[in-house]
Amino acid sequence: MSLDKRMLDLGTEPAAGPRPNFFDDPAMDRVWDVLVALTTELAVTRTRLDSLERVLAEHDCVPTDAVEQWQADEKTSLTQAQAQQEMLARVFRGLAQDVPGKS
Amino acid sequence: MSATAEHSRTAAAPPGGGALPLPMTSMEQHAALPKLSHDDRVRFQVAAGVNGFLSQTLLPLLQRAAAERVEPRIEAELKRPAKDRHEYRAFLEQDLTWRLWSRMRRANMESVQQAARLAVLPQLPDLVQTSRELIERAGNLQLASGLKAPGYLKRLHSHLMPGGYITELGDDDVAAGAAYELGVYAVLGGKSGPASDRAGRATVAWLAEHRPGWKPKRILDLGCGIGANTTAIARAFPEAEIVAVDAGAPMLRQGAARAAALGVDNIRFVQGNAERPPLGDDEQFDLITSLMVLHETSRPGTRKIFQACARHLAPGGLTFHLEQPPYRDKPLLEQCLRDWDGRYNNEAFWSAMHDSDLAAQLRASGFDDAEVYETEANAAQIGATKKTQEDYGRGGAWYVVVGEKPRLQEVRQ
Ligand SMILES: C[S@@+](CC[C@H](N)C(=O)[O-])C[C@H]1O[C@@H](n2cnc3c(N)ncnc32)[C@H](O)[C@@H]1O
Repeated sequence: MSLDKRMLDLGTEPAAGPRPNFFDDPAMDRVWDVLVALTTELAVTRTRLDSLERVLAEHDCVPTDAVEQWQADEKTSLTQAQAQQEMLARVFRGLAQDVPGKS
Repeated sequence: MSATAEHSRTAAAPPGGGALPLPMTSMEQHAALPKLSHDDRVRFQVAAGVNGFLSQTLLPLLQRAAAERVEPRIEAELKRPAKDRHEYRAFLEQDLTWRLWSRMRRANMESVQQAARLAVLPQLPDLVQTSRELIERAGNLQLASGLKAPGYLKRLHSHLMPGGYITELGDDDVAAGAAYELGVYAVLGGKSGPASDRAGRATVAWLAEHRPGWKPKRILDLGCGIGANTTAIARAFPEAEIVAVDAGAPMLRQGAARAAALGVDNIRFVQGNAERPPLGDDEQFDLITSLMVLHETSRPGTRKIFQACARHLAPGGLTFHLEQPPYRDKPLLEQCLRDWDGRYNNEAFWSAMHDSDLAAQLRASGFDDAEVYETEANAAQIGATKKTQEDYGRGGAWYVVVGEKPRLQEVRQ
């Protein structure tokens, strides 16, 4: 399922309260925000791949190079792009929430 | 089965040796629980794993850094040890390990809250519909639409939950409560049990030990949230009538729907300010609890909550307030670790409360003729927590302030 822009904006609203920085250069704080989110998303993806391999193996029906042989049509490709936007909103949340004059 | 699948099957203990975070599917299932996609389930489990990494791997390094880098620097510059945690923290905050631990802890907390919100919002119309039906059938909810919420709940969104407890996104909204239910399970990696109720179960165990066989008839739970812990108390005293008060309507709706879905029928969820609970002046309760609530209020707020307890506690009744332990004589590093939630996790009264004497405040709030004392409740006693490196401020070893009113005949003597 992909979330639209309105849902992503509402969903990535920050909590009311101060936004502390821990490093001398706040850029470092933002990089760490991204790294934590990115690591989470990568772990999610790896788990999904692992789940997928198990499902495929359990059903014993799909050749291993099936994904390599497959190409997305335009509509599918746009759906995937939407999902990529969702991941970017999650990973870059720390940057997007850092509104000048608000922290 | 592929080699990768076979390999990842062998679940090794995580680095540091803590317990593996439980899957979200081990949550107690009920009709009002938000549905989770495969990826969301994993997202929460990974976030719990990150917290495990922080407490089991990075925290011991931070303790070493404090001993080997921070404290020698304090000695070198001040020619004496730090006199309090404020002085200690000024040095600690310069240390790289502290900065990394803090940044990751904050970022992960934000991630969990965001993930919960993003999981709940797309299914909100369904959740609202389900909870409406459950609540209508159970008739266990009483809202006060014009309630003026206390300022501290508006100013700061506790533990970084966007919107806090009180924001309503639409009619009959449950978003905050539904997100809270997911978040609280994920942050503790399931350590609070399938129903996230270890504090409630520890409360029941404490009561069983200190008043064996006691069956309170009327129970008031202040700041009940989604009633996860209230439900544990309700299940232990099925004949009791329980009134559960909270300021947040979305929390109460989720709580009422959840209780109804779980078949717990002796709790009435009532919207109101715990400082002045919406009760008749002469309404009395045998047991009045607040579990992990006071640290989100204020000094005057806590005093008013205690005064309300004095007003509504029946003779022979017991009031029980559960929190993390006060800082007092704890080592300065531990004080700084425990104080993290007050400074960086939007807990309004956390720092000042842990510096203060809650028992003295309770005594001074209308309990001068009562027996007031400090005690402990422990999740380990109910088998809910394995002994691992303590995650300060999140642990299952609680500090409790108790007030016991004399029975009527004792008063007359
Ligand atoms: C951390 S939650 C704890 C919920 C519950 N006691 C539990 O153990 O799961 C704190 C709850 O206290 C509520 N709260 C804080 N101050 C309050 C007040 N003055 N009146 C009513 N509710 C309050 C919040 O809305 C929130 O739901």
